[in-house]
Amino acid sequence: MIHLKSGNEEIDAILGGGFPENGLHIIMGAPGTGKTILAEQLCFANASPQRPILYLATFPEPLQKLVGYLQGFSFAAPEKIGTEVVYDYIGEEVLVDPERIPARMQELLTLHRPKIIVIDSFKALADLLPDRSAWRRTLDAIAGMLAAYDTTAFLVGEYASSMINDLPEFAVADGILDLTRVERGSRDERFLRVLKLRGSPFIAGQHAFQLTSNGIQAFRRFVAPAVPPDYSFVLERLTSGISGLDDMIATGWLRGTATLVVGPSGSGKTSLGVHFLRGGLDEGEPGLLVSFQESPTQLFRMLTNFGWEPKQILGPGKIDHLYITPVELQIDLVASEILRRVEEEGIRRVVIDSVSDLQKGATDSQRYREFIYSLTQTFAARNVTSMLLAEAVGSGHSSSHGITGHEVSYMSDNIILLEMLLDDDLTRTLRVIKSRGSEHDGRRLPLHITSLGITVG
Amino acid sequence: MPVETDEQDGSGKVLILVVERDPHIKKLERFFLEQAGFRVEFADDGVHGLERARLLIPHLLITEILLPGIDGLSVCRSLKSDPSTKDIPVLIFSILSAEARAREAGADAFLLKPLDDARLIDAVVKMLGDRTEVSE
Repeated sequence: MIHLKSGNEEIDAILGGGFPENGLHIIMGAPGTGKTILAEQLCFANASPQRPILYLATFPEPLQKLVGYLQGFSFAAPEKIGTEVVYDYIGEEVLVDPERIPARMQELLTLHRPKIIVIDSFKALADLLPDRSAWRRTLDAIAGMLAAYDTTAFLVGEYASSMINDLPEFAVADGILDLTRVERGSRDERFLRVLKLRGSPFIAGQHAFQLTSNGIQAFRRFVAPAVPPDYSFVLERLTSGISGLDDMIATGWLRGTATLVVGPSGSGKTSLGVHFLRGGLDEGEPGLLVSFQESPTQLFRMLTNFGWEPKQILGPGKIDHLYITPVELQIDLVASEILRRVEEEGIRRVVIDSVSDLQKGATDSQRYREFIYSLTQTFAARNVTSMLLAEAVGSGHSSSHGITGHEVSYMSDNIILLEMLLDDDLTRTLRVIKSRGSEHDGRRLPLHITSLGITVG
Repeated sequence: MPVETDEQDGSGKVLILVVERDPHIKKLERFFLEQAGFRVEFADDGVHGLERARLLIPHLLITEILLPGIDGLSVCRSLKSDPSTKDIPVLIFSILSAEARAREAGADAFLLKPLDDARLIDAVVKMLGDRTEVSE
């Protein structure tokens, strides 16, 4: 089966290769969700002299707007407009006599002979008909015509999810792609979901996307690797980079494990993470620091305070720094970027600072748990050793259960608890409260952060 | 081979008989074939397709395999086994990917749906050879 490109590789992957050719696909969503942008993006991604495309507007004014707005996107190729991508209008006569829609469709089909036809908005056509039975007859004629001809149809419409079971167009569709926009505080998040795609092994679920000047950029919902980490015993012991800490665990820090570091603000989590990466770099292991709070300037200052030369240790192949503002945090985008860098730079150690920010960026607590599980499993499958930093929840930690509020602790191989005792002096402490399958020193020991680095004990 | 055209309607156009039940395919086939200069007649099922083929002796017959009653492959076999119709070129144009079966049934060509007007006209023109020249 031949698949048509969407204009975005991630969407193609979500679709199982793209939109199956000769299908009738619905692109649905509320106004402003990005339907038209996606439709135009896929038009220009597929247009060629051998594959002419007809973009059919159903009302006169939007046709001008469509072409006008289009030119703000990088995918638009003005030289193809009018030849490989033809914009046309359904026609006034159809608005006056909607029963003529099928005949008009045939006229347009035989005139332009398109290999791809987009009807935007298709729902608007249904609204022209006086009743549902009239629309069913019209729809049957349009769908029959489109199925008979060697073309792939995209029907764009302002459909809501509640309409799927009621409207006949959804029954005849081969594919349904639903675009949604979710308000999260003062910002919006956008998602796409494939509800149906005959003949294609699509990836189910909600996938995030962004509208950019390049069109729609999607990010596959991050899931655990299809092949889980194997059971071969990796007993390669690593140095943590923190003086005194390695002696607290009998087996030491094992490659491919995940360590959760929990503590309140100011307890030394970031410093611990940076030392862990520095320790790896000293062993020739490239690392990645993912920050949602620590800006490059702040990191630069911190490293300098430890007596390190930031320019010598920061950068791809050394300690790479991925800074993403927590204001626009989208967890699947984060995963996509982390994995890209891990693959491209051969990264062996990753520090996430912090998973508490990821939790705020997740749509719900279940998605957050799935995400953290998928992240640790993905790291383990690649033998990447990770450290997840988390803000302490509440006060007092009598057990490790639920230590981060959303049961992330059981997904970690090791848990380190950092505390601050606020007496006359500020005393920081470190305690290893879990080390899976290994004896460990569970005592609370002093943690010293000095200009020479971190020491425990 | 001498050029033979349909003289029954005096148009001088090459006659193509299409055996097809899908109304949308029929509309499109009529449009593209007539635009290419052919005269087109239709039959909705295999029985009528055979009857009309024997009556009209078209220059070419296009048939779907999936037809009510007698299927398109049987139509093709019947035409090819009858001395009066065996010379009618048969193009099987079907939603079924069954080119080998079509060839076994004696079809001269096979095309898979959906309808691509350029491929259809190209196939028809090739099958008709010199006969198309009269209509152009």
